[in-house]
Amino acid sequence: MKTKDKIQEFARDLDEGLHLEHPSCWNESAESLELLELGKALAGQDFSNSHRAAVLSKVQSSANFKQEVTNMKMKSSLRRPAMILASILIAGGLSISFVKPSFAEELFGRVLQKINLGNIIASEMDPNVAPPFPEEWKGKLFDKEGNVITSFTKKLGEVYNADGEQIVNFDGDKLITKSEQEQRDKETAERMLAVKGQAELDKYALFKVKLPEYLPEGFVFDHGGFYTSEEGVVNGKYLTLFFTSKNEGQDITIYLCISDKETAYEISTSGKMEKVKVNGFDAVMMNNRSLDWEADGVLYNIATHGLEPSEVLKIAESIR
Amino acid sequence: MQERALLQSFWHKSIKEERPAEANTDRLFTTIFETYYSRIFNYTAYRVSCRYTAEDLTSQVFEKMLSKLHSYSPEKAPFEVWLFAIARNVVNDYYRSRRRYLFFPLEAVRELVSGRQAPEEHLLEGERSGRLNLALDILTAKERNIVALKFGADLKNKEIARLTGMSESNVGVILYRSMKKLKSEIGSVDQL
Repeated sequence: MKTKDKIQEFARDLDEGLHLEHPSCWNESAESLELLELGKALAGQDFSNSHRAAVLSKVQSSANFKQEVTNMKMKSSLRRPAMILASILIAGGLSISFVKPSFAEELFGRVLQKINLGNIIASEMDPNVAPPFPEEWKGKLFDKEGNVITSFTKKLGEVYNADGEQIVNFDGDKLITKSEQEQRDKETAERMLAVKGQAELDKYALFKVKLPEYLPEGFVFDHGGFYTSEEGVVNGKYLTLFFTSKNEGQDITIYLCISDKETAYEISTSGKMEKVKVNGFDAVMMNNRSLDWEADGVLYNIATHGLEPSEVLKIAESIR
Repeated sequence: MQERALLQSFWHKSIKEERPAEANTDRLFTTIFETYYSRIFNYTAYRVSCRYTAEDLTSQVFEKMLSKLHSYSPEKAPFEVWLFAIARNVVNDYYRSRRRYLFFPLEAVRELVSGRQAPEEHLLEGERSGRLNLALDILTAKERNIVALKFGADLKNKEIARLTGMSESNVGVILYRSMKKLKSEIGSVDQL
């Protein structure tokens, strides 16, 4: 049998639930038998039971649920959990994080200052209140000198696993090393649609794209990136602008998205936060290097490294 | 199947009315939740490695479903295809928002420290699914979605094709390829 036919026959058997039958009913090649067995095991995995009550309670306690049920105000938007960017006490590669707002308060203990820009909410957290250190990380994170890290109570700089590989992220329970993150980033990049000129940016974006007219010396606009779905459909709501630089230690990335309930986000920092103006619009500068504001229905975030705050503001103000 | 039939009759009695009785809506929600909860949860659990994230995303799916219920039209798509399209979008949004900030996702800290599960239970769950999680990580996003739709959501290849815009035979090919990858990563299925 041709490979193609064999694959289709296997897919058919799987679809018809043959893998759920007793193996004695199977009359397949050894390879297909193994895969049918795997299919049976995969279909038999049920992760849901221990979470049922929690999920139901979450849905029912959501702010909108009661109102939805009572009034059937189906058009009212759901409060999609806004993500919050937060700088925690640890520095270096782990300095900025995003969490849900309610958790941020629980984790950071005290909000010192909150700035509401509409679809962007920024909070400054008390740096003296340390977030709890996860039990699961104990014994797995080390500092540069190989000392085990057991709390967030001091600035850590870079962190490493037991094998000395730098940890830069984590996913669920899994700590992500630098090389693993690079691989993930590569895969993300492969899914992005890179666009060069203004005409093409306008073609895909669901908002008017304005590029900064001013860039510090040595920087040039390289390209814009749109996220695409698995089927290759471009999502015009979000756009990332990438710049190249001759200057070592300096970089600029600008994130833009249409301003709506879905794209709304919250940011927080335990570092420095101040309210500034960008072309008359309220904006938030964080740690002298990141600037967020909303103008003409578009949310902007400029993330930089190695630039003076005045330069960051100048770039923002040149977006007109 | 009885529950699904009950669901269909609700479309005509409840959804089409502008303001159906509260009891009806409540009952409709309960029916949908009871009918689809496990499949939605398992779908999200196949797509994200962390069970608590799956829990959050599942609740978002049902919230979103409820808010969009008025716009559902049985003529356009079967209910479960519509519902799993919502689930797929919720998970995609989750990954997109993470991608936007390639930083340290502290929400996972909450998941780790939440204490919603006794440590020994957490450990058991980790042992049971760790190998599968690792194996799922080697799949591409597209492959993982197809595996999740097949084994988590328990959808037919035809429904998966409709949901993803791929041909049915392409779904079969991706499924076969993904399962071969999983098999070689997992080894014996007894390990699952």
